[in-house]
Amino acid sequence: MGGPVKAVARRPSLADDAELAIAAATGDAGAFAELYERYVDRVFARLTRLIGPGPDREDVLQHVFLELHRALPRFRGDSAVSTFLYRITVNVAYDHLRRRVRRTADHDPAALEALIDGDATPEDRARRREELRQIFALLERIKPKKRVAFVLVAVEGLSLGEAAELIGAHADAVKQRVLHARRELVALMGRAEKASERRLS
Amino acid sequence: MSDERLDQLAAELARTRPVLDDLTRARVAAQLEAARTAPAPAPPVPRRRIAIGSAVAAALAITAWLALPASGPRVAASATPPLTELPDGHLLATVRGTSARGGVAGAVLTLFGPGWAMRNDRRIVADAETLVVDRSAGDTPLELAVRAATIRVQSATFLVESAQMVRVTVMRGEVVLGCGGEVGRRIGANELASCDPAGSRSAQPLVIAAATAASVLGATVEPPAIATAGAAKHKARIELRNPYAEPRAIDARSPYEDAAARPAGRRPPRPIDASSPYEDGAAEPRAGLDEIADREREHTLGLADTPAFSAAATKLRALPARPAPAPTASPIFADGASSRLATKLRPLPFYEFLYDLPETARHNLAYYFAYDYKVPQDVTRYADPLVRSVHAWKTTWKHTELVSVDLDDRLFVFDTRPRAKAPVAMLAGEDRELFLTCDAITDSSALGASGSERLRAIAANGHMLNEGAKYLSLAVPVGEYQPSRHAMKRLRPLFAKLDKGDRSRVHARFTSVNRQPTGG
Repeated sequence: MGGPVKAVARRPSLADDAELAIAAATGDAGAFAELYERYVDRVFARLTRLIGPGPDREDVLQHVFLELHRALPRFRGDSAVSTFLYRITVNVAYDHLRRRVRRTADHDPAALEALIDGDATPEDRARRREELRQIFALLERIKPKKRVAFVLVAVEGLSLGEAAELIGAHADAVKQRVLHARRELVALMGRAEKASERRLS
Repeated sequence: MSDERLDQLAAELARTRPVLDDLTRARVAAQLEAARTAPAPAPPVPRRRIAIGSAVAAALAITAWLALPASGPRVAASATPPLTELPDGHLLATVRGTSARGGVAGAVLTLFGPGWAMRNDRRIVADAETLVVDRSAGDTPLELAVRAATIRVQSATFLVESAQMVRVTVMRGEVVLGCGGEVGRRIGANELASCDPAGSRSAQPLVIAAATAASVLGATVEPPAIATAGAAKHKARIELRNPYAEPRAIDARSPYEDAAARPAGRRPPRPIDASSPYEDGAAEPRAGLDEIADREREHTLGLADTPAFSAAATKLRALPARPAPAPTASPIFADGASSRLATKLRPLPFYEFLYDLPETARHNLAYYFAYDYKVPQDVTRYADPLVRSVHAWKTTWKHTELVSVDLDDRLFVFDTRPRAKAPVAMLAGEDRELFLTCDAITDSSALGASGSERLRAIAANGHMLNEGAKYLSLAVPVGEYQPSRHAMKRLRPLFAKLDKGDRSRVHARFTSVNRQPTGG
């Protein structure tokens, strides 16, 4: 057996995001790699909530960082790098949702299972998996604009101002989208409940 | 109500912790790096400029061609390295993130790792994430076997992807694709076809096959130059490691190393070794059953990138070919009386169809074996009762009922199972109370000595499950459970055993249940 693999020597993470962004914009591959490493998990988590746990997530994730790489020369430091990146994330996710044919099929149970943390009991996992399946199925049925606003505000807990900054819209518009999304989702749930009652009777 | 429910669902979504696994992280990083470093596409050129440009280029080309001396080279030397013809029995292997090319009977074979290919005259056995074959001409067809798929090609360019299932995309020409034992179908240019994943799944992980093939080849022939180049790339890759790597298991504890290094022995443990140590900050894999198969596959494929695999492969190449394992060394018949019973141990025949490898190599990688008995014996005769019982159980369990009807003062248990000791049992008083109490698992020690005694008697009828001091009533109460029409047909004859008064009450209970919708 080969010896243990030593921990990979990483670039010291002392540099702040802005310094890294400037270095990456000038072609420093290491700086870009560091940015990728710092944010990839958070971007992945946000993407999962925005577009669902489908197999297309990986492509979208790659697209986000590719867009970041293209956009970095335009980064002027007016906002934090994280905000800049999340704005790209939201835009890419929105474009993806708009282009994607709306799904009717359920998500893969294994993909849903992977979203649940490890210490849940089997019963709890089953219940949570069902709830996730339900919420993703509902979100598939509303328009991407409303979906993005709803996920950012109602799920991720961002303020209307923060969500508006990421979406690139006015806070009032975001509020309207969230309200509409909520109304539609509630109506969809009501319809689903009635249909299930009819089936049972 | 729906508002609350929506909030609950949103909260559930907010609670999710999507984790990007190591493999995906590295793959995205690599794809990103490739896309980042790719030359930017040329800006669109106005149509008129294209027309003028084409005309000028054509004129220049003709002038240059006319100006060249007749004997002089008219084509610039290609920058592509010369293609090595893959000799018979040699292995072309490549690791993740690299590619390897080889020539086989007029075809150019390009593997994108991890993968391997081995030539046997006009037949190639291969398994790789992606495989491109370009054959412009050939007098006889070339056959390519990838897992359960067989592709015959005369002249075509096609792509074979085998991440999940074997998928063939033909860019030029025509190929004949056969999946498993089925008759081949023709796939023309710009067409795509795939083989059923069930067929592909039966293949063993390619890492094992590659290691085994390497071990066999290492002893009989010189390691091919291409494989050596692949190994050198592999080493360089390990030293550089992926700059995006996150904390991970620091000791792969590859079970396959044992499988390859030892001539015989017990079946290696599962690839996922729970005792593998992790770096600080690394998240241990989650134990969800659904994930195990995927993780197992990824882990196995990921072994190609570990130093342990590299070391094992080097060691394997230096080993002499291993003899076929003696029957007594089989993982199935390693010890005990069975080793004295079996002889002529051989891998099950399907291995031959999956792996076009020498007999010794197949012996080494097989997990399942056929055998003969040393002393001829009639296995069918002595196994028959067991086979019949299993068959009976498998066919009858779904047509049997074990239900209870509680009439407040008495409880009736109806049992239509073939082995029912008491098809109809009436429980009253304390027995009824005990039966109802044990609707959930109950410890009899809390019920006193008489309670335990009574429970034992009820359990003896097969209406309760007993394990140590714990009891569980098995009959499903009518009310929660609604017997189907067919179930009622089986239950109705049992009602005849009841008193007239009870019969009508029990019957009413069933029919009232049948009339009422449940869950409303």
